[in-house]
Amino acid sequence: MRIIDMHTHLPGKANGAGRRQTSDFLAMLDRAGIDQAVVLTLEGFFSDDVTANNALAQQASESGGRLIPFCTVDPRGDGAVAEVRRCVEELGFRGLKFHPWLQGFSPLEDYMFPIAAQAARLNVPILFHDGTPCYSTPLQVAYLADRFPELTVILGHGGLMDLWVEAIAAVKRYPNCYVCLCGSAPPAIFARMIAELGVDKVTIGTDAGFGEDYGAVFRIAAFHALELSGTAREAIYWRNAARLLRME
Amino acid sequence: MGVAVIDAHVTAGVNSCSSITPDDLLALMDRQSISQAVLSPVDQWLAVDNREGNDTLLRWIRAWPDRFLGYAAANPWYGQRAVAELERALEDGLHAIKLHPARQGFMLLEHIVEPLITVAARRGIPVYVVTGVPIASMPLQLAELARRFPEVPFIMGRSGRTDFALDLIPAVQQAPNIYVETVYNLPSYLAMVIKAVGPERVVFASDVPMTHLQLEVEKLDLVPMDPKARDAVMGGTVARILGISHGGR
Repeated sequence: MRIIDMHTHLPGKANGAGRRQTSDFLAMLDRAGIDQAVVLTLEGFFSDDVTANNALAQQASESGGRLIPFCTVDPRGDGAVAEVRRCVEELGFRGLKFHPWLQGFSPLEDYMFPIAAQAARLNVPILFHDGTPCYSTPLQVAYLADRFPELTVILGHGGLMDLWVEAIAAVKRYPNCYVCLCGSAPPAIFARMIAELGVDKVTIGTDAGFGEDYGAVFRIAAFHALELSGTAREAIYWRNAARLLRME
Repeated sequence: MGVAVIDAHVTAGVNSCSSITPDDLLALMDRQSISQAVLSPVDQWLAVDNREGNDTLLRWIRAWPDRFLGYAAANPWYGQRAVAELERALEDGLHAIKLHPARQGFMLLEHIVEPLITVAARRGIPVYVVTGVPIASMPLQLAELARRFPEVPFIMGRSGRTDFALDLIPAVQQAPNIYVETVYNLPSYLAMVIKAVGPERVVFASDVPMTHLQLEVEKLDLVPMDPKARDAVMGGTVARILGISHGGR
């Protein structure tokens, strides 16, 4: 079955891996059976965002459409809104990614609002790291979904091990808030979240590129082991992602 | 003939996010050639219904004495009653103690937990502690507790996951009496732990039914270990700290 992985990272200096060839990254996706992947930066969370976005765009352009790039910006930077627009309109990025605690900001701070408004105008989703205090709890992230009903907000980890109950609350409360099941939380938690949320607002991710390659294989195998109907699996594995990414 | 595999942490019964009968758990274990597993109490038994939990685990252990071992639980807020309940449950046949600070409503370095650790020290048994929940229980806090009780073996439940995984190796290096469980760690990370502190400090645990047992077993094939190291990880070490015999099967 087709798989769109909603959460992978272009490895770089930030995780000690060194930059990888696009073909090597695609081979890793092949080993896990992933057809297409949303690819996010790692370096851009710590260093120059424009450089990181350009690198991501370059690698996505070499992937034959398999890598779907999401940009990031320093939300405090003067050029943040313009950089979002450049990435989406000129470079073909399909969404934004933020990691509030790595990037040192809270999603509730004022300077996030013009960025969220721009993403809504451009009709692209924002995927957030979530699941960890103190700046990345699901309801903190979902606050933007509350404030910008036209914006699509994706909880990039579904609350992880400790805040998945809060993630369920956030996704249920806001029609424009979705979840990507991704990370070290056990499969039983993912199964419970699917049961509580229904299948239409759930996508999957592996965090591939962050940590070891085997992680992608391991996590896809764990998704395959979940008991799901064919229709539900299709929705979660790729249909919902395709809809959010406006691929249809 | 391989060495008997012991799973250091599994849960039967109806839990917050899982449910499995002891029979179904044994069937899973059989499919992966797991000889024995240490049963954890479910959350409600950890938090409030300590005696009900301890008695249930004792019943299951008596029904399958060659397959199940068990962690005793008592909420430290019960004070001397908690100590008495632990003593009773251990005397009756449970093997170690489990603490879950976030579920039991205390912070790991609060002194109320110390009388319970003293029970473990007196009996020479290990204490399993769920770590990784911010504020309540983090790896460096467990290292501090382990330094206060150097004679007690502690198992670092969940390895500080999710977001305190980077604290794991430094914490384990600070206290030689801490052991790392395999679940929630991928092979290359386990290889790093083994390189840092040695294979005799790592114990196989699956946290089934939260995870998929076959994947938890198979991933260990990707961790470079010589046969002696593998025997230690797959059961030798946990048998030693539990004080049970560990043979072939």
